[in-house]
Amino acid sequence: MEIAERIDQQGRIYYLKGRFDAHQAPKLKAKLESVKEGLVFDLSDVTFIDSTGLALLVTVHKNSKKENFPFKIVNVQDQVRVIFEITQLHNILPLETI
Amino acid sequence: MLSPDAMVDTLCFPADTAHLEELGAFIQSNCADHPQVILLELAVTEAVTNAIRHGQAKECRVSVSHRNDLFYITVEDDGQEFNSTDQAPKPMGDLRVGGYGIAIIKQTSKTFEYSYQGGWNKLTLTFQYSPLSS
Repeated sequence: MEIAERIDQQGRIYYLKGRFDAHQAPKLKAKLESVKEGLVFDLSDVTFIDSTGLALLVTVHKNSKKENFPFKIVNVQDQVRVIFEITQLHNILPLETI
Repeated sequence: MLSPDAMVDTLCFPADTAHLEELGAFIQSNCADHPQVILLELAVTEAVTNAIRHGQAKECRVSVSHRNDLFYITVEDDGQEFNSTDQAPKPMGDLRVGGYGIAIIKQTSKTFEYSYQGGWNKLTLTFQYSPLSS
């Protein structure tokens, strides 16, 4: 997975590209260790996500509630959205299209 | 018991998450006709990841065949004996970190069977060709 990063008024935006799986998720997790500011994950170019990737999203979402910083997941493509739907996390995680 | 009669292709690989991308490409290639092939890829990925993380497997084998309106996928590993079909799946839609793997496999597959022979765990999964139309 390729990870590009940009900071704007929303906070820190991560553009993710490729597979977000058990092998790739630790790369993103390592970047998030000390982040407690606004976070946006742009999944426009994510082609696959597994339960490890989903678990990282859940962790960040829970941390955002606990630490009181905004977090959203944007531009999930239809083929990947199916995975959010089958796990029913699309109703819980902050998914948006921008 | 359902059993595949004609193997289409088999992928053998070291039990390491570095091979998940190769596994994904293998499923995508062999099950390309399935309208939601990503869910087959997801189920197999979860099975293999469990074998790597929890079973301490060293080798994995994944085979795919296709007959009538079913895809048959077997996932074998040489890790610790573990019957995942005995595990009660945790609920979906719960804000927990982990525990989705088996629930995903059960949710996406039509049948989910387990056997252990010769030091290998074997999961046999079947998937309906067109889950959306059923």
